[in-house]
Amino acid sequence: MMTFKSPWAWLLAIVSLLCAWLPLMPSVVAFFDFPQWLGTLDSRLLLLLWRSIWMSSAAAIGSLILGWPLGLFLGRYRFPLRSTYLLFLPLSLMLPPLMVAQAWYGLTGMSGVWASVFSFACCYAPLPALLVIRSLKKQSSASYDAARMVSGGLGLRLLISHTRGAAFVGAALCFIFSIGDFAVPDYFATVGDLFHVYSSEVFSNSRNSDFTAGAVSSLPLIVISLAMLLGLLPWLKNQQQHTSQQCAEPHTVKHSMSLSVFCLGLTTILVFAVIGRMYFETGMRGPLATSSWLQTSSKAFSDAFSLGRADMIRTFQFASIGALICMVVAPLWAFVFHYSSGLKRNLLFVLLVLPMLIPSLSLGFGSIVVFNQPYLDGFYNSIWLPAMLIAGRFMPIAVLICINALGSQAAAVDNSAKLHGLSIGQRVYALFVRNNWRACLLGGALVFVFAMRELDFAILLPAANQSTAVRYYNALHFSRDNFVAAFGLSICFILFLPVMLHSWLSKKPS
Amino acid sequence: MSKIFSIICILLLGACSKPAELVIYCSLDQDLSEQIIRDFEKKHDIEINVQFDVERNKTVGLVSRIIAEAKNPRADVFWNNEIAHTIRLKDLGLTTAYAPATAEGIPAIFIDADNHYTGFAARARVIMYRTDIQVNYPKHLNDFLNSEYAENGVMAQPLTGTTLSNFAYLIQQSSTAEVVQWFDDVKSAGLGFAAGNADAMRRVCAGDYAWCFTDTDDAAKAVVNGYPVAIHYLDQGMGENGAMLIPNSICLLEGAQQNEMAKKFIDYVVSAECELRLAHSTSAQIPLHSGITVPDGILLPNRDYPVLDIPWAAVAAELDDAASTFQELFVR
Repeated sequence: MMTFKSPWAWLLAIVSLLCAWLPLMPSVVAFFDFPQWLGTLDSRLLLLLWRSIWMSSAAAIGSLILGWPLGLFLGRYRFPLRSTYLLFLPLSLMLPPLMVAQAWYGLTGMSGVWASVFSFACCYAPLPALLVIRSLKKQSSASYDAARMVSGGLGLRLLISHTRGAAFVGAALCFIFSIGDFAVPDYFATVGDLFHVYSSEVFSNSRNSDFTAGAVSSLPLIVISLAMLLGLLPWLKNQQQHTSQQCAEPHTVKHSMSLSVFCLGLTTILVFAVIGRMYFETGMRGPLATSSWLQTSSKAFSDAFSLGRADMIRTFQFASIGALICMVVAPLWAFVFHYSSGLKRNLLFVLLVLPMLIPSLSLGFGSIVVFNQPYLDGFYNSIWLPAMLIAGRFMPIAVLICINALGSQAAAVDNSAKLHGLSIGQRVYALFVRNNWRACLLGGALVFVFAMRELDFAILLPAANQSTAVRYYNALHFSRDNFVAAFGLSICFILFLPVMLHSWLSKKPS
Repeated sequence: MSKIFSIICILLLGACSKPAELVIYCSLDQDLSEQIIRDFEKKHDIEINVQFDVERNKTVGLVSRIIAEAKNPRADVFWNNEIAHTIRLKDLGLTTAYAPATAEGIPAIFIDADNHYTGFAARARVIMYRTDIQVNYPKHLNDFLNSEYAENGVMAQPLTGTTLSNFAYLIQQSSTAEVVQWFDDVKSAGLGFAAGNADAMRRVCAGDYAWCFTDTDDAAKAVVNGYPVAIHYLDQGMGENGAMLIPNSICLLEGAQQNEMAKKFIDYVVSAECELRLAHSTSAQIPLHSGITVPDGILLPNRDYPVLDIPWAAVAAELDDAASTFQELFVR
């Protein structure tokens, strides 16, 4: 449907080349050392790999257990405080996972492997929940009402069947982010019995001056994550059978109070407990300290705003540009996947997701190798470089959401547009984006959030170095816990402010 | 649509910036170094682009970046919070000679013989112990082997940072096999291991352990935050007494020979005035200039405690092999 004669195909290719494939090339070249690396594979590495796999699988299952029911209830039923829970749901996604881990350690004293699993599940449970809620907005009213009339059980089965693709995409993203993260396991190993995960090995190798060693040793993680994402594609395709002509609306149920209490419990685990603990930590001090909790906390917030303001603005700039690029390009990618199949589709998918799966240090070093040229001085130092890398790395998130949205759009709409001779640009931007702007916005927002948390390549790129993530992790050293908690909360609430304002303003009667 | 267009225009305008007159890569913690750098910027009315590292990368992020950017160098000055990786850069031919006049008074052992780097404002490897309980803490590194001490103590895994440099030095003084055996023995004796020096310090503050083997700057932070702890300068000498001192180091990078402002900046950072500022900071860095009046609580090397003469070039050469050995030993 989209050939190389189409300017849209060229746009897609050029953007992908600049944002993702060029910085990726040095790592891809290094992959040819994999057979040599396999020779170094021993029981130590296999044990680390196995631990990473089962921990991330458990975290993904945990995110499903927490996020799927929450998404189902918030998306389909009306009950007291529903809008409040909906409002606060994305908040924990805006916090660095390490901060969530620290908060849970402070609250419960938990440590070890299972504490990491629990933290990851809590951090990423909003992903399946948000995707399920979005998916429910596109559920056919006719089929859902018919199922409910037959029996409540059938209605629930239909809900589960309709949302499983979205829920599994969320859980798969949880798996991928968990298996590549070493900061959280590292933290829980520090506060309890020492253990390591495979990403620690990758990170240690990436720190060497020859960054390609990190890229090569990350190949097992890349293959596992790829297999998981490729396995998800049929689920997304299945989603295409659903129609969106008349969408089902949330409705009231008998035990609305119980539902509200249940959702309050889940939202407390995901958001309120963590935020509360962090707020407490802004004023925490040792037994011999002379200042009060309030004085310590006030100073921490004051420092957070005065020191971090410029970093926040700069991070907003490149994160916004990255998110905007994704919002423009992701729908095109979604159409490419919608109309391709078999090997071609799988190959394109590998090309799309590879930048997200390799260690971001490798991507950062790759961009230095490619873009650090005397004739590219201006570009290399500008915020365009981090913005483009962010777009290239996190594009798959926005594309998966668009694929899901495209699947739930009646195929007839696009077919009819095609028959009427509309160009691919008109179909993508005038029809799809117009009808699914919430999905595009969600994709862009998630890219923005992940961009705000990106640390590893931020250190390596001139314009991204003075960012919130660098200042945050810089302050994490020593016991500057007050500043770290206050700065983390400040970032989180500034990100959250537009969501809150939108929610309040949209409630006002016209 | 017009709103979206306006947002895009604002973002594009924000993306444009003029190049800085001085580019500094700094791996000392941002909250300690930033104001010092900004004061220089203000004094000389120039624009400085300063790039920081984070503790999670233990300095190596910027070192690797300098190496990766070697074909088209971007930075003028590298301010490193330790010394071994600066020597690695020198060995790779990425630094250039410059002798700051303000280094007068700093002992020669902290200054490169070819003037490629200057050491200043140091940290010492120390034992931090709790003062609110009766603690039996080690006085010499070999005391770690005694379970009476080891069972109550914790240290960072020697994977990165100053702990790696510390044990690379011990390998250089003895052998890899002996140091690996030493770790096996201290593990058997019951010594705990943490991810980093700051984590070890936190475990002591939290009451999980009675003492830890850490750096003076971590210990100083615990004191500032009101924890009942004190410092003992650990003797690590083999045959002669001495604590290990790890200075900050600063160097002019290759390609910046003509940048006079870079040289002025090095003069400024190495000066006794800046050392004193770092000594007064929350990390209580130890000044190396002779005759400086230090704040209360800071003990001076070779006046208040003996210091080891570390062959830093040999330690730097040992660093990569030591890191691989310890990675296999600890990352499991």
